[in-house]
Amino acid sequence: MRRSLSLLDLRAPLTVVGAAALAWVAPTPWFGVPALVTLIWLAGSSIVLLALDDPELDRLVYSVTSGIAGLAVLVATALVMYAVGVRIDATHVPIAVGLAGVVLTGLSSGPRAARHELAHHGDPLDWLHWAVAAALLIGAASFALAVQKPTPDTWALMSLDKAQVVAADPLTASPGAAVTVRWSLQVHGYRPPSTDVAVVVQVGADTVKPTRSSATMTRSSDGADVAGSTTVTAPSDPGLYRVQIQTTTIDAKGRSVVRAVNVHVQVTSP
Amino acid sequence: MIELQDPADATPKYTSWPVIVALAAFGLMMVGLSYRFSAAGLSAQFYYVVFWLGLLSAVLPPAFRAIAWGVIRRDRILAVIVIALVTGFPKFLRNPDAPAYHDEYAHWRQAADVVLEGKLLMPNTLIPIVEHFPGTSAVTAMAYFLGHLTIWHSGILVVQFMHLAGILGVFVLTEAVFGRSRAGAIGAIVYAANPSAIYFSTQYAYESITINLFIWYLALGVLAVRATAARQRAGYMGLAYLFGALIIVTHHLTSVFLISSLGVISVVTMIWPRLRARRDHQAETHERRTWVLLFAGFVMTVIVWLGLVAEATVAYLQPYFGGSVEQLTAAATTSGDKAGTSRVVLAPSVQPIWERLMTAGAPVTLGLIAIVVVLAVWRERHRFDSTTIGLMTFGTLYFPSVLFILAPSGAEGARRSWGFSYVGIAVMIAFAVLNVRSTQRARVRMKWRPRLVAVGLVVLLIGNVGGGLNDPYRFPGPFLWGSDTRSASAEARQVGRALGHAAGQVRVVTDGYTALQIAAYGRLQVAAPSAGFPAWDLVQTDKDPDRTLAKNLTDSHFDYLVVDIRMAKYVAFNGTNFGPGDPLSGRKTPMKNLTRLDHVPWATRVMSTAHLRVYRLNFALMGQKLVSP
Repeated sequence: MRRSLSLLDLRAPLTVVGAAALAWVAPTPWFGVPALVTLIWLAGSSIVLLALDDPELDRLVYSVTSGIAGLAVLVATALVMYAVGVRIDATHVPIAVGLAGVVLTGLSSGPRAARHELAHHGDPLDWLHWAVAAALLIGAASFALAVQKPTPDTWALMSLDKAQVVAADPLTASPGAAVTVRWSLQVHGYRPPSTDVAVVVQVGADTVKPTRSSATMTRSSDGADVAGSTTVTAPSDPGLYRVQIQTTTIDAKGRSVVRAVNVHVQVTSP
Repeated sequence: MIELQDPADATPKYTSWPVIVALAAFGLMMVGLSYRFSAAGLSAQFYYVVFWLGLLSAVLPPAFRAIAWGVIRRDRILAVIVIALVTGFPKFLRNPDAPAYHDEYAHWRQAADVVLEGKLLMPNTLIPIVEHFPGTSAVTAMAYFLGHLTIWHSGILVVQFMHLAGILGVFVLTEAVFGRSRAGAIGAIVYAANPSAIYFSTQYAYESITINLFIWYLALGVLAVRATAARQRAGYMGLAYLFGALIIVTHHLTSVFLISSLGVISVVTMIWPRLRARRDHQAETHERRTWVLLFAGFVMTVIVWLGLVAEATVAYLQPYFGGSVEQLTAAATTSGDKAGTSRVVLAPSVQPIWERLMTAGAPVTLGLIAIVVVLAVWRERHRFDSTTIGLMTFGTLYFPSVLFILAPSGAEGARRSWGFSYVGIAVMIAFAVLNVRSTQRARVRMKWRPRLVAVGLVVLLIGNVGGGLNDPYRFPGPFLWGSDTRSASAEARQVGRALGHAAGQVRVVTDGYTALQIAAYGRLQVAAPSAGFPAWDLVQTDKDPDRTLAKNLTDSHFDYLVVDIRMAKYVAFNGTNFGPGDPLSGRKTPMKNLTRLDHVPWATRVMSTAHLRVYRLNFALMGQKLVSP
């Protein structure tokens, strides 16, 4: 028996379009998560209805397989997008999933309407009681989350400047030439109690006094930055030297913390 | 559907819904407090008690409601849903906002790369095979772009849904096998207590998704066998094929287990009918055809995927199977120390002795139940079809797999197998509980039956969770060098980010724990040291690398070395800093091996934190001399 197109037939595809549009234009979880669940449900249940055209299909099997089939639609859509070279991003994903959803809900409109018409309901759930139960469980889960010890997110990183981090070869200098090493120190997660940065320079095994040195600390509410520059005089004897810049700062607990970076300098023959 | 009331098993008052919900809420809070206490470094004896007080409070009342006589099916399902939700909670709470388990770093990075690059099949440095199984990253990225949660929370949402779906899948499967919703509830509860259910199978990783698809593939198979109309049967099988396709694009090992289970059931459908006194040839043919078609269809899907996309899978899996058999043989024939291959059951750990005893007791209890079931099934073999027997037979694979926990290569596979074989165990236990004889003599002891069931469930749950993952995986706590979960630090994450920012996606040699952080957060490519590529020699010896290694490192562009000096202060919790083959297994790295790196011409320290040092490598300078280094 042929059925004429009814509003019920269009309701699911139109909901898919609405959910996809919502996911596209309103990039927040408050709209996105309901849109995601709607898309998964409608696309997945369409597949289940197409496979099992039985209005009296067990509700548990129908519900869970619909959810899983919805996830399968997401994966299949991603694979198709990859195969045809469409970028998986915030613009194309809602369009592609929306299209898949419209096609699937359109194909399954007959079984969906039949299930809707014939669906029989058992004892209705007492929604108020279940809402209270859900609130209680969510409250308990929130309590469990709230009592967790926060993970410390503190660190202090000393680094050579980008060019020296990447460079494989040593710096080269002629004897007695000025060698400048630029470095930085970032502190995160605590405000250093002092802006003092003690800098010690070693060339080879010798501690030397830099000819120029700057190490100014700028503190913020939860950290500090130091932009450092240290210039030393290259040794008079040719050879490969290690130049070490060592800094000492005070951490959040008042302890001295020493960090160091090195560069290698090839002093050439005059 | 209301089932016959058995007065001795009537629903007790503590299984009323208000009590169930109140105790579940109490249980979740207690689990939260146990984590707080463990993170604060309190006694393990204390936080384990708090944890189990919470989890048992949350699980036992709904379990009793689900399996009691005279309960409507809807209530059983709701009780099973409560159990699924509360058993999914401990892992969610363990690391709610970021990866912490080894595989989670790999999958999170994979999903993040898909989001960043806009395409699938991205290379993965932590678990290279992940590249060929894009299901997890695809579904996470798609959920991320539609739901606008973070990438991590998008993945967790999918995993938690699949955890719920899997436990309900066991309900459907066991209910369909025995035709009773009470059987479904028993099966679901037993499955929810399997060693992998609470932590391992709820981590953000590919098997957490596919293990539940595996369950549904079998459940749809049983529904197809039980279906009376050809159209219905085809529909269930069609859905199963769809879920099978989702399995193979997501996880390799699940495919192996599904092929095994379908193979076992198919073989049983050929043999079992011959052993029965009463035969129904039409039903047997239909049953056999259904399972063989499901088996063949899935095998075809696997062949297509492996052929087109994931050829590397066979080579990837081979060492785990072959290696574990060899190691198990070695452990059986030589002393463990000499063989160097053995693992110790119930090795020293902070786990309380009662949990460890239950860990040992759980497989023994199951073994005894299995023997009783086998005898009972054989006695009344005309009553059971091949599907029921096939599922139980697959479940018996659990017992030999317990042995493989003794072999280092096999331990991972054994652990991973339990989530699958427990489907058969669930069927077996449902059979055992349903077939307790209601003779007059048995009735005398009926008042003890709920207590026995409670004790059995407690032993199973506590013992299995205890045998699943170790303490640092289960509980948060102070920094612990050499554990995947508790070696993580903000320092290491920042070093990864800073090096990635400065140098790009460069290749790095580092220990197995720092590797997780810097690969996940810095998108760096990390080395996988082995006997053939002993990159560990850079820090595990006090000598320069030999020419071959230096050439290999240079040719492969491993230009950086990241060192955490805590490897010289502590023995790694997992035993090694660089994984299997590490020459300093079970020992600290000598500090002089690390300090010498500041005095060799081929390494320049370019970054430094309180504990981590980053070196730029240049082996072309090896052999030169530093002046007064």
